[in-house]
Amino acid sequence: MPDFHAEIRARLASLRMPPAQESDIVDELSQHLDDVYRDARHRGLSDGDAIETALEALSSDAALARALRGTGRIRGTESVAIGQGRRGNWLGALGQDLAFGLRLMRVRPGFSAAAILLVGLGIAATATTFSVVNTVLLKPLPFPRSEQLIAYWGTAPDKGLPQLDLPDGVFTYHREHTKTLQSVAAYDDGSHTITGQGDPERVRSAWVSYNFFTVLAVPPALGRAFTRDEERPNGGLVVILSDALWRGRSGASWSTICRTRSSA
Amino acid sequence: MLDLGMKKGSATLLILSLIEHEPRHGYDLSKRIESMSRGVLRFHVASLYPLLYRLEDRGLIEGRWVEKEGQRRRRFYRITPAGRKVLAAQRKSWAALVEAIGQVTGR
Repeated sequence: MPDFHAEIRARLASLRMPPAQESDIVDELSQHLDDVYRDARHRGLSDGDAIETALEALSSDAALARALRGTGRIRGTESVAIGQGRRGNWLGALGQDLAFGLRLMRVRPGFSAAAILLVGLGIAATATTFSVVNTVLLKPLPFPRSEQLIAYWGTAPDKGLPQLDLPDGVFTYHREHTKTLQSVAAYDDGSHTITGQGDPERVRSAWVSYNFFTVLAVPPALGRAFTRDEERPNGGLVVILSDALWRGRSGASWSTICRTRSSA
Repeated sequence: MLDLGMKKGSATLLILSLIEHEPRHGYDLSKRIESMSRGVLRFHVASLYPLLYRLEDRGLIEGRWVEKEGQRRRRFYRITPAGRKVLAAQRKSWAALVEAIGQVTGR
């Protein structure tokens, strides 16, 4: 692509314009000549003929400067990237940008639809990822000093078992002899069926060691936590209800009586 | 082929009508005028851009550089509310002129 800047500058030299103003006009006119050149080449003209066609569009040497001399106004030199407003009139410029953008979308509906779909998918994926990251990584656990809580389990990768429950004896040994952890509790989730009042109901449950709530530093809201004796075999079947179950099942009554049956 | 540089009134009408519905840059304007008039009307650069700058000075159009990623900036021109008023008035005058000439010439 030939450069028409010098040719145009030469024709405007007599005007002795400020550099910024001259630069704007030269930019605009050279782009016009670039388009003329490109169209001429597209029509099959040679490079030389296309350049001549472009320069013909400039008219005679003196005509351009003579015609521009009559305008006499210093034009603004700021370019506005799409999406940016003009200083001091950002609201008006925003309206213009929106209208311009909508017109462009109407002209290319297929591209616009694809772009909107991609942006929507991107937003959905980002929102989903953030909600997961926020819940899992950023939001702290609802326990005091939760940064000090860890969970660990057995593993047998050579047997294809990434996670193994520790036997009770191993857990008990860890709890009694650990030197690196302040205290250790055990947790094994499952489910039970509650009967005795109303329809039987399958609920989530967990077997926990007696010191579970002590390790989490969250005492029961009502009643007491487990005792050491209750962890022993035949130590008695003692249940701590969740707040939701207590309120839903028994209407938050102190005299809740129920029978539990172990899950199969 | 008529040189539009000599007929500023009609040139203003052409420019304003072409940017009535959407902004355009200078080359787009010259191409449209030439193609829509089937080559009868043609703008030289030395006629077109001084006219655009004068229309800007009068507040009938507003030029704005637009940058798109990966492209050179282009100056687009859009009609202003004052320009729309002038356009409406010029359309009326032009229609009246054409009708008057037609009546005189019998066409």
